[in-house]
Amino acid sequence: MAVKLLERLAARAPVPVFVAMGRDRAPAVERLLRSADIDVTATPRHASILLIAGRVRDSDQAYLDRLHDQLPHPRTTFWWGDEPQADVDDARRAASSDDPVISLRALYRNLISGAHASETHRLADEPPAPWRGKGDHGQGGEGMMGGVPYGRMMPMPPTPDIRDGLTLDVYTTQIGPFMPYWPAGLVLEVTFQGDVIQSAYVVQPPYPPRDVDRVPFDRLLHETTALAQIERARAAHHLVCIARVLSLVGLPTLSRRAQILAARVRANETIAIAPLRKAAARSGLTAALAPGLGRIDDRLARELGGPVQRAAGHAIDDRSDNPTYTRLDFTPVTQTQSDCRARLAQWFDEAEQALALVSAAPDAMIGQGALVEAPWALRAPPIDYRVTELLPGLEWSEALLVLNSFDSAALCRMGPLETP
Amino acid sequence: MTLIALTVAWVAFLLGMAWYIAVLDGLWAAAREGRAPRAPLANPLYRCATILRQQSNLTEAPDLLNWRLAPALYAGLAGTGVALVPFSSASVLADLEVGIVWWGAVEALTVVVVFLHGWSANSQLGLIGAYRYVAIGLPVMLISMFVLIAAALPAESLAVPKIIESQRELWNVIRQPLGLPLFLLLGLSLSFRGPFNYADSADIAGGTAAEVSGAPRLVWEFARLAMLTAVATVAASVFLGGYLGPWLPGPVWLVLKTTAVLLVSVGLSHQLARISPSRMMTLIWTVLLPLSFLHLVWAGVLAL
Repeated sequence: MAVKLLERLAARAPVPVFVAMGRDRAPAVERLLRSADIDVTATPRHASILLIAGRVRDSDQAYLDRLHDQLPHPRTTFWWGDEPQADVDDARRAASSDDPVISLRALYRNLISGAHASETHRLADEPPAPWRGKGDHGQGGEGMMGGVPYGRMMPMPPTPDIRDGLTLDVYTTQIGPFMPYWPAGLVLEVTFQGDVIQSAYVVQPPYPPRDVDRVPFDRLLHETTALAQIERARAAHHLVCIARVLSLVGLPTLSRRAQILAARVRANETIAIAPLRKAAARSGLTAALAPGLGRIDDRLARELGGPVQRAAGHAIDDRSDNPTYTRLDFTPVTQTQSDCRARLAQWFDEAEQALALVSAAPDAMIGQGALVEAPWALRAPPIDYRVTELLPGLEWSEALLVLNSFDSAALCRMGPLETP
Repeated sequence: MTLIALTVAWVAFLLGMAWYIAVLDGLWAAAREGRAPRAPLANPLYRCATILRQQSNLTEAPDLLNWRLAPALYAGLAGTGVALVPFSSASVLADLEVGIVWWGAVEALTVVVVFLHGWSANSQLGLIGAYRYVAIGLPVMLISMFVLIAAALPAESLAVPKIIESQRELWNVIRQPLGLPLFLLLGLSLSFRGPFNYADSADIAGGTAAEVSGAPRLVWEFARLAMLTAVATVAASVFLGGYLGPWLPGPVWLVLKTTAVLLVSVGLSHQLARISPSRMMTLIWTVLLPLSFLHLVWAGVLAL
C-alpha cells in the first residue's frame, strides 16, 4: 500500500535526468529545460535516467560505463541522437529532431512502477585493486600518507601550498568528461591541495563546437543562407555559454532562463536578452567574477580569434567586410580587459547585437561561400599554449569559471592531448 | 501531557516549515526562470517520493558509520535549535538558561557534521565541498555569536525566553538594526544556500551530497530546510520579539514572523550570486566580522 502510494507520488515528480553530453550530432539539450517536467541533476547519484545526448568517442565509453553504474536503482539509459543503436528498443531512444520529454516521462513512469526493469551494472562492482592500508577501511598505514591505495593514483608528499603556504594533503584525480558545467569531452588530471589546483594536464581533449550550432555556418558553404538563421544560431550559442557561467556563480534559475531563451531563439521565436542581463547584473554577476580572473595575454587572444580576440579589444570580425552586414552599419563590439568578465560581456553584447541584426533585416540573405564570422574562436592553426597553464593557483570554482569563459573551439585549440 | 503536546507541535512546525520553504523555492525559481510553476504545493511531496524510491547507494570504502550518521545529526542539530524557542510565554520545549550558548554549539557542530558528510563518502568533490564549508562556516559562526551576545545584553540573560521578554517595549531589530541582516547570512551559511552554498553547489556536482542517494539524501535535504527553519525561528525570537504581538495568540505570531524571515532568506538565496570562496573569506574577515564587532560595541553602549 505504502509502496504503491510512493510509486504514484514519485511518478508525478519531474524526471530526474543526468545528461552525458556527446559530440557531433548532439541535440540541443537546452530544449529539455523548456519543460518543467525534467529535472537535470548535477550528479548521476541523484538521477534515474542517464541521457546520452549525441555520439561519444570510443575512448569515452569506459567513463560512460562508470557513470551509468553510479545511478541508483531503478535506473535506465536513454539515447538522444541519430546514431543507430541496434540493440535499444524505441522506448529508450529518440532522434535528434524529436522532443524526448514525452518519451522520458513515459519511460520514467514505467521504471518507477517496475514495468521497465532497472539496468544492471555494466562493470564489475569491485574495487579496482585491494586497499592495503591498515584498519577496518584500509584507512591507516605507515608514515604521513597513511596506507597505500594500491592501484590508484599515489598521494604525494605534502608541499607548501602555492597560494598561502597552508599545507594540506595533496591529491590527484581525473575530472570529466561528462561533468555538468564542464567543457563536454574534456578530461583533466588535476592535482589539488584543499580546493586549490596545484597542477593539471589534459587526458582527453574537449569536443569541438556542437553540430546544432554549426548547421547554418556549414550550410553557408554550399548555399545562400538567411542572415536571420546565422545570427539566431550565434545568439543561441552565446546564450548557452552564458548559461554555464550563470550556473557556476550560483544563479541556477537565471542559467535555466538563458537556456530556455537559447531554445526559443532556435525555434525562431522573438526574444529579448536585456531582461536576463539586467536580472543577472542585479544579482551581482559582475561582482561574482573577480576582476582579472582568467586574463590572457594579447598574443594568445589574437591567436585564438573570435569573441576571445574581440574581448581583448581587437575589432576583428569577418562580418565587417561582408556587403550584407556593411549595409546594416555593422561594427564589431569589443571589450578591453580580456578576462572572464570581458568574455562574458562580449557574449552578452554579441548575442544582443545578433538579435538586433535579425530584427533590422529579417529577410536579408548571405551569398553562398561568403565569409561570416563564426560564434566561436578560430579552429586552426595549432597553438602553442595549454589551457592547463591557466589553472594552477586557482580555486576549483575559479578554475571552472576560467574554463567556461572560453568557447569550445578555443578550448579545443588550447586542450590537445598532453602527457604529464 | 504538555510535553507531548509541545513535542507534537515541534515536529509539525519543523515539517510544515520545511514544506513551506520547498514551496517557496519552487515558486521563486519558476518566477526567475520565466515559466509557470509546476504543481507548486505538491511538488515537494513528489520529489520526496522520488528520492525515497531511489536506492541508497554506496561508494568505494566510505566511512559508512559517519556517512549515514551525518544527515541524522544535522537534522538533530536543527531540531534542538527550534526546541530552544518558546511558542508562547509558557510553552518551550527546552527552557535553557544558556540557550544562546546551546545555539552556539549547534552552529559549531554543524560545521563538523557538514565536513563529516563530505569527507566520509570518500569522494573528491565531496571533500572539496567539505573543505570549502569549513573555511566559510567558521568565520560566519563568529559573526553570529557577536550578534547574539549583543541581543542578550538588554535582557541580561542568555536564555531565549528572557531575550524575547526584553523586547516587550522595543524589538531588537530596531534597537540593534545590523543584527538581523547579519544573522540572516548565518542562515544561508548554515543551510548552504545561494551566495553561501559552498558545500553542495552544482560546480562540484552537489558537493558533500554528490554521492548520496535514497533515504540518507532525503534526510540530508530535509535537514538543510530544517536548519534554515531553526535559524529563522531563532531570528524571529531574538530580533522580532518571537511570540510577542497584539490580538493574535503567541504561537501564531511566532509562525508569522518565522515565515516572513524565511521568505526573505529564500529570496536572498535565489537573488544573489556567489563569489569565490577566497573572496568571500576576505569579505567576511575584513568587512562583516568588524561590522558585527562594531554592532556589539553599539549594543553594549546602549545597554549601559
